[in-house]
Amino acid sequence: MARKRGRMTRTGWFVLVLSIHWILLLQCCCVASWMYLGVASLAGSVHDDTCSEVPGLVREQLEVCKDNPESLLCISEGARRGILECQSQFRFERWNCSTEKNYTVFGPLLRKGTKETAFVYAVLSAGVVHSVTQACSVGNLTDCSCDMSRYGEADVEGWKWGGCSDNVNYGLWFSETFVDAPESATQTGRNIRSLMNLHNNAVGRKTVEKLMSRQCRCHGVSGSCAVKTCWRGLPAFKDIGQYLKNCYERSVRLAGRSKRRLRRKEKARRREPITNEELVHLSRSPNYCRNNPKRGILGTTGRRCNRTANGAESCDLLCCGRGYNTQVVRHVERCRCKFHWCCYVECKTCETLVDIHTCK
Amino acid sequence: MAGVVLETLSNRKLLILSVSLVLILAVFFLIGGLVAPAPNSVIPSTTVKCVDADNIWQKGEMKPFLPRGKGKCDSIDHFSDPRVAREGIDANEIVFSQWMPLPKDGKQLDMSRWFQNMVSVIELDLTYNSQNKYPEDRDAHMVLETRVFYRNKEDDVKDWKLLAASTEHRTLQCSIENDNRQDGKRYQCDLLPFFELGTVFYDFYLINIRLPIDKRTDINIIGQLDDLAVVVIFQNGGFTKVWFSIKTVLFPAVVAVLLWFWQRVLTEGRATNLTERTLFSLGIILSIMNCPIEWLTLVVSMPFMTLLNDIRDGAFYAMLFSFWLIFVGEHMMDQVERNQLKAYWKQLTVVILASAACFIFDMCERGVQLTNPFFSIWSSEVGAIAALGFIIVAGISACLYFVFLCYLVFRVFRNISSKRTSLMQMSSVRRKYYSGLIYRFKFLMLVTLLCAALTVISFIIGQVSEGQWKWGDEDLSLEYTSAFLTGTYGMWNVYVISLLCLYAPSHKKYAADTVDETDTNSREEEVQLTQMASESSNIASFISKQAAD
Repeated sequence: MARKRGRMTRTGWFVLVLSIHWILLLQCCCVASWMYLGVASLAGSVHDDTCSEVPGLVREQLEVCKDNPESLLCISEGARRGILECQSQFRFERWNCSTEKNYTVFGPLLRKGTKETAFVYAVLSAGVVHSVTQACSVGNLTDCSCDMSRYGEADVEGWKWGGCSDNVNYGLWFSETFVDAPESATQTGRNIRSLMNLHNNAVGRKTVEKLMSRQCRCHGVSGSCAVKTCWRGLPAFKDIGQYLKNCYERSVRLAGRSKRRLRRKEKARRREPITNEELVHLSRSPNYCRNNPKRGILGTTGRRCNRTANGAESCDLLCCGRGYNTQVVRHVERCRCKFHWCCYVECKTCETLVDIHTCK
Repeated sequence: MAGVVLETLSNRKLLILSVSLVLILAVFFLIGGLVAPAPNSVIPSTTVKCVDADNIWQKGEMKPFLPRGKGKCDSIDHFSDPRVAREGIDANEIVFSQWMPLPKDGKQLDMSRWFQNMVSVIELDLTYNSQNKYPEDRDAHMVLETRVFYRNKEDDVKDWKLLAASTEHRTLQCSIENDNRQDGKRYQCDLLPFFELGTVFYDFYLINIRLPIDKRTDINIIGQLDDLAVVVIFQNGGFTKVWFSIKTVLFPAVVAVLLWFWQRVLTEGRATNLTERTLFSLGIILSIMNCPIEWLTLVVSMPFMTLLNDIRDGAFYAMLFSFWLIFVGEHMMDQVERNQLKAYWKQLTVVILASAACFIFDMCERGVQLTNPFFSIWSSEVGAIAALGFIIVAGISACLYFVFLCYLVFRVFRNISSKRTSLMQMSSVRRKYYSGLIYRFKFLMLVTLLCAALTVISFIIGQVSEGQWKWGDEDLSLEYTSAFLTGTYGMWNVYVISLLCLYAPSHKKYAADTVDETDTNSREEEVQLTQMASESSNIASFISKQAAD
C-alpha cells in the first residue's frame, strides 16, 4: 500500500514537473502569439484553417477558433486595427510600434513589461472588442449572443418578448475570453506580469465601452418624446487610440514585489487603488535610441524627423542628439483629387521637391 | 334634483372605493414595471457595401441586394479596399444593404407580428479627411434611392418582394470640433429619418440604399463616408402582449360601467343634463380607445394602425379637456343658465383647434406614410415650416385652454367662498344643494389634480431613468418606461370609471332626509331645483325667497 502510494506521488511529481516545463515553454514561445493574426491579415493570408497554423494559441483560444472559424477573421481584423492605430499614434515617437514579419510580431520587446507593452496589450484588446462588435452589427458574425437573461428567457425566440441586448456586450465578452486566455491559462504560475497584462487588456476594453456614443429617437404619439428609445454606437477607433495614448503617458508603475495584487510603486499614492482608466507597467522603458536586436529595439537611425517642430518628432529629440542628414527628394503624389463620398474620381499628379531629414 | 352617488355615499364606502381604485392603479403600474419588458427594442446595424458592377439598379431593375446568406451580393469591407481603386468602383455602384433582423446565436432571427410597428433611422459615419471635407459652410443635400423588400420564413430564399421604393431628399447636418480636425476622426451627425411602418407583418425585411452622384449637381457631396448604419426600432412583443391584455380587460369593464351609468340616468325620468351627457361621451370615446381591434393585426396587415391609435388617443384627450371645461362651467354657481354646449363655444373652439392642428399634422406625417413609408414632413423645407406651424398652433391653443380653465376654476372657488358666507342663511334644501355642488366639485378637482400630477411625475421619472443609461450592467428589475405607459393608461381609465360611478344620479332623495322641514317653501324650491338642472333659480326668485325667509 505504502509502496503504491509512493509510486503514485513519484508519477505525480513527474507530471507536475513536465507540466511546468510545458507551461514555461508555452509562455516564452507564445508571447504575442495571437497578435500574429493582425500581421498575417496585413499580408492577406487568413483562411478558415489558420487556427492550426497559428502557433502558440492556447487551448481556450484554439477552442474558440475551432467552434467559430469566422470569428478568427474578426480577431485578425481587430489585431490589425490595433496595430495600425498603435503605429499611427506612435509615428513620431522614438519607438514607432514597428512590427516584424515573424510570429513574435513585436519581437522580444513585449517580454519586458514596459509602458509600450502596456499600450500594445490595451489597444489590441480594444481592437478585438471593436471589430467583433462591428461584425455583430453587420451580421457577419452569426454567433453573437442575443442574451435574454434579463427576462429569464434562454430561447432565441425569447427575443420576440424583449429584444436582444447590445452587441458590445458580446464584443466585450469575446475579447475577455479570447485575449485574456493566455494569461488565465497560466493560473498555476500566475505572476505579476500576467496580472499586468490582464489589467491592461481590461483597460482597453473599458475604453471602448466608455467612449461609446449615445443616440436617441423619439417616437411617441405623433412622434412626440413620450416614448424615446436610445442605443449605443461604437466610437471611431482613432478616438480609442488617442484615449489610450493619453493613458500611456500617465501609465502607473507597479511595485514588483507584490505577487497577487497590483500596487503602485510610488510610495505616496500606494494606498490609492488602481482604476481601470490607468495603464500599468512594471519596468522602465529603454530610450529606444540605439539599435539593439536582442531586446527588439530598432533604434532611430534612418527615421524621418521634422527640423522645425518642437514635439517628439523634432530632429533633436528623435535622433537622440546624433544629428541628421538632409536630402532633397522629388516627391510625386496624387493631388487636387475630386472625391465622391466613397472614392476619388480623378486626381492630378503633382511633383514637389521636399527636404527630407533622416536621423544619423 | 337628486344628488349624485358621491354625495349620498357614506364615508366608509367612499374610503373602501378609493382604496380599491388606488390598488387597481398600483396594479397597472406594477404590470408595466415588472411583467412587461421595455416598450421598445432597437437593432443598430451597419450596412454591407454591395457592389453593383453591372449597374443593374441604374437600369431600373428591382433586384434585391442581399448582405448575407444564399445569393449574397458582391461586397467590399471598406472603401479603402485596394479593389475600389483597382476596379474603379464608383459611388453610383455602391448599394448599402441590410437584412433585418440580424442573426444571433448562430440563427437568423425573424420579426414577429407582435412587434406592431417599426421606425428606422440612418446614422452616417463621416470621417474627417483633409482632402475630402464635409461642406460645413452649407447644408448638405442628400438624395437616397431606397428600396425595402420583404420575405417570409417559408418563402423561397430568393423570393424577396418589393414593399416600397422611393427617391428621398434629406438634409444632413454634421459638425466637428476644432481640435478633432485630423484624418480618421469622426463628424457628429444628426440622425436622418428613414422609414416608418405601421405594421410588422412579414418575417424578414431587406433594406437597400443607394446614394447617387451626379457631377452636375451638388447632391450627396458629404465628404468621406465610411459606414452607413440603419437603426431599426420596434415595439417589443412582450410589451404588446401586456398592452393587448390590459385593453382587452378594460374594454368590457368600461362598457359595463358606461351602460350602468346611462341606465341610471334614464331611470331618473327627466331630461338629461349637460354634465351627464358629457360624461357619457367621455365614456364612449374611452371605450373606442380601449377597443382592442389591435388583435386583428396578427391576422391582417393593418398599416394604418399607428395612425388610428394616434387619432384615438387624440380624441380621448380632446374629450377629457372638454369634459373638464364643461364640468367646471356647470359648477359655476353664478345664476347664469348654461346646460348647453352653445354656452362653451369659445373655450371649446380652443380645444377643437388644438386637436385639429394635431390631427392635420399627424395626417400629413403618418397619413402620407401609408403610401410612402419613407416620407418625413421634416425633410422638406416647406413641410418642416408647415409642421412647425401646426405644432405652434396646437401649443398656443393648449396654453389658451389652460388659461381659460384656470380662470374658470378660480371663479368657481371665488363663488364657493362667497356662497359659504351665505350658506347658513339658506333653507336646508338649498344649503344641501349648494354644499353638494361644492363637495362634488372639490372632489373632482382633487382627483383630477392627483391624476395629472401622477402623469407628469411618472413621465419625468421615465425620462430621467431613460437619461441615466445603464452602461453594461443590466440588473435593473423595474421598467420605468413601460410602467409609465401602462400606469397612465390604466389611471385615466380608472379615473373615468370612478367618475361614471360617483357622478351617476343617486336614488336617494334629499326629501327623505328633510322630513322635519315640510313647509311649502322648501317643497316649492325642490320643484324648481329639479326643473333647472344646472343652476336652480334666477336672481329674482332667489331674492324673493330670501325675503320670504
